Amino acid sequence: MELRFGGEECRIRHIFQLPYEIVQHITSQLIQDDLINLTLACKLFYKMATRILYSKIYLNDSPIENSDVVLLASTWSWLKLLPKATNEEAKEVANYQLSCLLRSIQENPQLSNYIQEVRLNWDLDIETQKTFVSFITKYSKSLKIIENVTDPEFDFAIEENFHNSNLISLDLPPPSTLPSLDIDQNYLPNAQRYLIKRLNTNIKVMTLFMDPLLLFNNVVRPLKKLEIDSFKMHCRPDTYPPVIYNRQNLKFSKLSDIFDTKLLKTLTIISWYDHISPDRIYKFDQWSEFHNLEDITLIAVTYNDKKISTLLDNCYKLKRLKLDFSYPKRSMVRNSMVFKSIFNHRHHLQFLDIKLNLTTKIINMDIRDFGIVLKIACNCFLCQEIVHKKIFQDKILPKSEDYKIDSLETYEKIDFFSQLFESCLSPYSKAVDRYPSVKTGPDNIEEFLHRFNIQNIERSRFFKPLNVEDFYNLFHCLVHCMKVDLDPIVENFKNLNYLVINDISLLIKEDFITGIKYPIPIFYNKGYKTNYEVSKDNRYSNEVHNNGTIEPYERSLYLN
Amino acid sequence: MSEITLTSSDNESFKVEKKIAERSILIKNMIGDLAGDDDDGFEIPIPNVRSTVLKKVIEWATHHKDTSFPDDEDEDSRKSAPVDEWDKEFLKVDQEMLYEIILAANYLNIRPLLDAGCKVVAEMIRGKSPEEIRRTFNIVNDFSPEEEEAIKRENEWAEDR
Repeated sequence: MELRFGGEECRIRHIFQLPYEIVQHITSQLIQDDLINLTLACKLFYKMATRILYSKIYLNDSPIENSDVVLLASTWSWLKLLPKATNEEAKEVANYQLSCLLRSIQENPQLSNYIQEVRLNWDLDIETQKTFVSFITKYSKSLKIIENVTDPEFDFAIEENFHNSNLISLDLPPPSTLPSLDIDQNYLPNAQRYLIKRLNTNIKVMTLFMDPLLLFNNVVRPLKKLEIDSFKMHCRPDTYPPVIYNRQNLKFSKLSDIFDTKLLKTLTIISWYDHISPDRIYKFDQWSEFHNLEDITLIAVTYNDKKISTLLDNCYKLKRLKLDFSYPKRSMVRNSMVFKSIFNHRHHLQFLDIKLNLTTKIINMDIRDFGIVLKIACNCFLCQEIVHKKIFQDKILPKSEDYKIDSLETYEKIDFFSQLFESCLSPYSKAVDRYPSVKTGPDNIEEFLHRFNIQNIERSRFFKPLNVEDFYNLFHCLVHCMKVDLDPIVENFKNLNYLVINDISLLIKEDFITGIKYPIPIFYNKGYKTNYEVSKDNRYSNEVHNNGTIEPYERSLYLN
Repeated sequence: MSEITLTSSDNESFKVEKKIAERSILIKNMIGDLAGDDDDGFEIPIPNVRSTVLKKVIEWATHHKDTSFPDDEDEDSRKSAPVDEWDKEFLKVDQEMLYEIILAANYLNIRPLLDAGCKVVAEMIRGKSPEEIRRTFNIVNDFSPEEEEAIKRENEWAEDR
């Protein structure tokens, strides 16, 4: 279409008078549900919407949780699943949806040509996924990344057809699902053949289940340094044949001999050691030569203050960090070296996901007195008038005798928040903003409350069951009470957009009028008002003051 | 050089502080390529943009002259970032003006304004049924019933089950 400018008659009155790439840019702002509707609007929109809809596909085996307050993982499409009563039922429906997806791209191969990135799933049907992988590797010229390749079968599918695609990812799956299982004798020869075929400088995204020094010294030796942008390693104590551990004629003695240190931006280390040798500590600091790392994720790793802090201290500009420890403790303390190292990155960090020892707990047990002590570290109306009075005093602990406990079990029944942390209510995501948040179990608020209510009716005849509104109020009170721990991070990390503390995902908002930053929960946000001093519409006022039963609360000065 | 003149397609001239004009990467590069340091009164014709639109674009650039926009954002963050509150108000204009602002932002290479404009149009699609989308943008349904059925079948995996 020719456009002339200036004259009245040439003004743009219709969306399709805009250049194609601009309309495509508009549609690229849309998420799955809207793209689906757009495909049915007209032929031109169908073309543009499918191009986006199929560009990144996440194969999930259970429903994905959305947020009311922010678009999450907005570049992905996934199998749409409604909540089901059991995980098995969810998986069955997910496999059906996967077969529908496969049918669509087989019937209309143009669609597979739009696919750029796919994330596979351990728990979905392997054969269907294999056919899917085989098809897209063959037909998609756009295909760049296949993530989460966890079964050697997938690599066979890729191997047959990869010369047709422009894949930049290379995954070497584990020999078996669990490290303790025996290793098939063909595993290493197959891995070697596959790597020889695929390993070259076009590979930017790599996932290994074997230590790179073992692999690249003893299975295949790259002739040039690998130019990897994103590297993921699963640390597993698999027992390979002795040839792998041959220490003679080592060509590479350190990681920088294998990988180009300048190019690596994203490092993910997932530990499996806790299955077999939980006290084994990975040498995180062997990555400290990679100064340009911007995104570090450590999952289920054994905590080591010095090694992890050395790794963090050697990055120039860390933007994203996720730390998750399985041993010896789930959360870190604030005077740890790691916490200080995180603080050194306060000017760049945009995403931070950590486990922290919280300063305060709302429901406490006084061991000397065998009693319940409530510490609600927020003086706002919600926390004091609603949660403290209407929920704790009127419903959970209405009589003074309810505060007396005879056993740890009784305390655990009352401890709403620990039960909440242990439930499957918080969805799981590798990174809440970028990857879909998957529900890990069939739990929902009603069922969670049902369990809590049943236990407590047994505990005390005065207990009054909690309802969904109480759930939200208690959850929002929990976020309010985290303020003392959130404050130093929210105030000092100027570029932080997402903060996940102990699996509670928070979005950092900025008050339009005052410019004050404050966190809001990403999930279960319904009706949330902050206890930060922001303009009136967004917050609860601190009109209720300390009535003597609650300890005065002061910020600790641990951040200097 | 502290001020430059921008001239619209209908020959209206606007004197603009250099810093404001340089919100446009096109203009910034032009100034860099062509102007000397003491070359006051530099004039740049903007032949693709009419005066009412250019005025709006200058208003936007003036408001954002000190805003620092992240330049290295990935696709995910750009897509999930909500439209700035001021921009949202600023872009409450009729569809024709909105399209022309988008087009001008594209031509002048003002990425944040282009993104904001495209997001506002995307907002007009969000949550709407195919029929509502057609009505909003004055689009004719060019599918046969059979084609419509085929697309619904194709989309099955991406719809709730």
